[in-house]
Amino acid sequence: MQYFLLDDVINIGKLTTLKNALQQLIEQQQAVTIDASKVERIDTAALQLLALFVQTLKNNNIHVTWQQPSEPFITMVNLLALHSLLDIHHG
Amino acid sequence: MSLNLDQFKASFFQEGFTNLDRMEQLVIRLEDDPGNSASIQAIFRVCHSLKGSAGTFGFTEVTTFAHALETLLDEVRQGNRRINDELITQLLLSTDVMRNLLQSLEAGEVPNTIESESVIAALGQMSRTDDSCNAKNDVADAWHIDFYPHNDFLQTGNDPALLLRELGRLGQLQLTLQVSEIPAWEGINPELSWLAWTIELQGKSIKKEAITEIFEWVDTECDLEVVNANPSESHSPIDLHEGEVNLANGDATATTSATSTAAKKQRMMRVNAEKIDLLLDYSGEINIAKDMLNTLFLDLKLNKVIPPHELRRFEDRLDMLHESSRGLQNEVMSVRMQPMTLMFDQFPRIVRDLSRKVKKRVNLKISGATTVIDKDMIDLLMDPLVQLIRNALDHGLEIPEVRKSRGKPEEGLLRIAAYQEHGFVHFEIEDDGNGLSKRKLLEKATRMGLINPDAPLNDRAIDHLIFAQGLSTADELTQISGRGVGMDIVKDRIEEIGGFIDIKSKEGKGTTFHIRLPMSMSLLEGQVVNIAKQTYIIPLIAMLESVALEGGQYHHNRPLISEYQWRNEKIKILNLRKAFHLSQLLGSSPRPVLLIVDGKEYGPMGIIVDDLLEQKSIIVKSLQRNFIDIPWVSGSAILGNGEVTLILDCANVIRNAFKSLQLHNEGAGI
Amino acid sequence: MANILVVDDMQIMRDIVRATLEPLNHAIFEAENGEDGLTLIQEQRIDLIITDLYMDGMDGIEFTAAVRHLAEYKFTPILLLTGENSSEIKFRGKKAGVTGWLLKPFEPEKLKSALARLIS
Repeated sequence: MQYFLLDDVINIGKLTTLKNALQQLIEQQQAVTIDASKVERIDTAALQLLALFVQTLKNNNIHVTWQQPSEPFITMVNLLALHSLLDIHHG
Repeated sequence: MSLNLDQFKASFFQEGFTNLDRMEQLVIRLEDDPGNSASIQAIFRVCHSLKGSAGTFGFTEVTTFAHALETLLDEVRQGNRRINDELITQLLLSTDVMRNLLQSLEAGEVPNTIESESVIAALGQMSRTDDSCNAKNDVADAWHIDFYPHNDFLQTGNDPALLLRELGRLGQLQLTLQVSEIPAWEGINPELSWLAWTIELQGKSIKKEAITEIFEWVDTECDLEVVNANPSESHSPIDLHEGEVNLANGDATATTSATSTAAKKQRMMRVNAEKIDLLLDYSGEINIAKDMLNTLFLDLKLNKVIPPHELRRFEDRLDMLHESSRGLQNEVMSVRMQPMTLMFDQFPRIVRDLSRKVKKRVNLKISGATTVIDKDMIDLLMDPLVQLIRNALDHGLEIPEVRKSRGKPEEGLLRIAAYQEHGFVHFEIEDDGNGLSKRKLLEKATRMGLINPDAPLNDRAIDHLIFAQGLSTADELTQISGRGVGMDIVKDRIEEIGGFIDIKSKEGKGTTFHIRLPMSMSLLEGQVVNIAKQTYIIPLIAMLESVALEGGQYHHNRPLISEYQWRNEKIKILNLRKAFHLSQLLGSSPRPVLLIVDGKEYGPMGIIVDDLLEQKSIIVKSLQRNFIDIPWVSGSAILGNGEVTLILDCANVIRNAFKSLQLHNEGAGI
Repeated sequence: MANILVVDDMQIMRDIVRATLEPLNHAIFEAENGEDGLTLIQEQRIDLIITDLYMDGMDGIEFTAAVRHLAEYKFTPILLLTGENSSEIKFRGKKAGVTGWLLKPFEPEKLKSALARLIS
């Protein structure tokens, strides 16, 4: 089980780093837990990348769990209707 | 595929200048006669064809400009823009700009785009000014918005989430994510946008202006459509074509049909811009090949003697045409293709809920979510697939205690797989549960009178009984399968879209359903065959194998139904000539072919044809209504030589043959 | 909440922006021209840039292009203030990387709603 902590501020300027980190998680081919509790600001580009990450793992039958997604995080997910692609089901 | 186009550039420029002159004349004529819609159409066509041919040669400065002009002209011809002085001026200016561009390009220079960019900006400005004839539609309580950002949307620092948030301040939002294709992880550029949304906005008297203002900075970076979702509120004129004017009592009452002219729901589709460019390339190449072929043909007509190198050139051009049109067809078809992800995404939830209801433990294995299929088929497949899943969970898998007592793991296996093979899409739904009880199936079917006691069914045929109407071996109606969508409907649905469903089951071990589907509902991949000098088409999806037969004459004299050893099975083969009552006197073909086809409940069966001709992709044309319904013909097609052929529904041909044999035997007292 | 830079050669404009945005809890930074602005953003993390178009030295569009060349500011929202509703300016601005624009003179409310589309 791999554990990944998301930064407090994640935006389009930081995506190369994020992509590389996610890439490593994919290569391990093991289930992943993403801790989104610290996220204060996140933009569409970052969520888009995370959605692709979740779908890519799903395609290989690897499970992604979300841990304590913060309010700002959930707000953005709802704004973009990305809960399905991110596989995140919270009220 | 690249092509040396230099030799054709000269004619492109010549045509281009001629067209621009024509356009100029048409614009001037339009100034005098603004109502002349023919002129407007003609101007639009000139611009459009210039854009297309410039695109073939890669003159992007011209295509960019022509595109901006075309957008404006489209508004004019739709009646959404008035023809006034300013418009005429800009149109004339535009012809000048394009002329200058062509001149630079012809001279081999890089064209100066300052002028064209400035005019593009002006044209764009005109397109967006509220000086349009749609002012009366700008306030409503419900709006439907399509928001499709382009790839480069995020480059200027705009964020769709913030725009959507602001949109939400205008009223109640209902958002639906629209993603036709999830990109691959490898090589993904995270700075490019691939998300899109359709939005329903509801509120009190929302101005269209308020909506478009939110997107004002990004209108060139996205496709945005804002449509009044409440047509009754738009004061569009009553369309008298759809109604009648009753003058009987001296007063005119107009009745209109329910659908008013505003906001008609169209079937729309979003296509990646690069795909359109590719399509344009292919069609450009086809056009050129066609012109070249024409020229060659005219030459050949005049010269009775055809030198071999001319023939070779002709052949090369023909090959090019083949390749380009195949390429075009494939690309167009692929536009309709979507991965099944969004459908497969729903399965885990469905399985989880159902398994809780029936108190069974399920190990769900899913694969192939990214397999692509025609988007219309995805909608039609959902119901049958879900029914098969319900069936597997309800009747297939056993409760944990039973499984334990049978030495199986307590968790039942449910495997759903999709894959592409041989140009068809395949689904497998497998469970390792009860399997079908052949005994029960036979009992029930016999009781229902479905079986002829003298015609023994093989294993496969017995399993296929599950698809018979009204037959269910469930002892009681369970809570999840009681919905009435039975296996017979599953089979119907699959066959309606041109597919085949097969079942393999072993009592106590489990059941596997195998579905085979064409990639597209509009094109049929067919094998053209010859039967006693008549041509027919057999759908490739029904064909399992073809075998060349030795000893021609012998096969044409076979009885209607005879036996044959194919792989490890003894299968029945049908003499089609006899089935179709085609005269034996037509002589025999030296190379008859045995086609092994999917006989559905009869399993693999053979049919003998005289010859195999080509394989074709056919757009299926259904038979006219004035023909009697012939069950063993599923449609018609037109071959390259203009001949009309019938498409055979093999399973029905086989059923028919067995029925007639049964009647014959009964009549003869056998 | 956000660090906002205002670049304008007119004091009064910078004052108006400050007066409108400071109450929203943003930290406002000022620069009189493009060069100063570029220096400032490299010393201080800035989340949003508001710049006038016509200034001495480099204009707002040139300034934007220069900002975009800095890796950390490739996607930072940039709002261009301009007195004319010119499609040419919008076109050139977009090409240089401007995120959005606001017409002068503007009501403070307009500035706030523009902001809502630029930062969260």
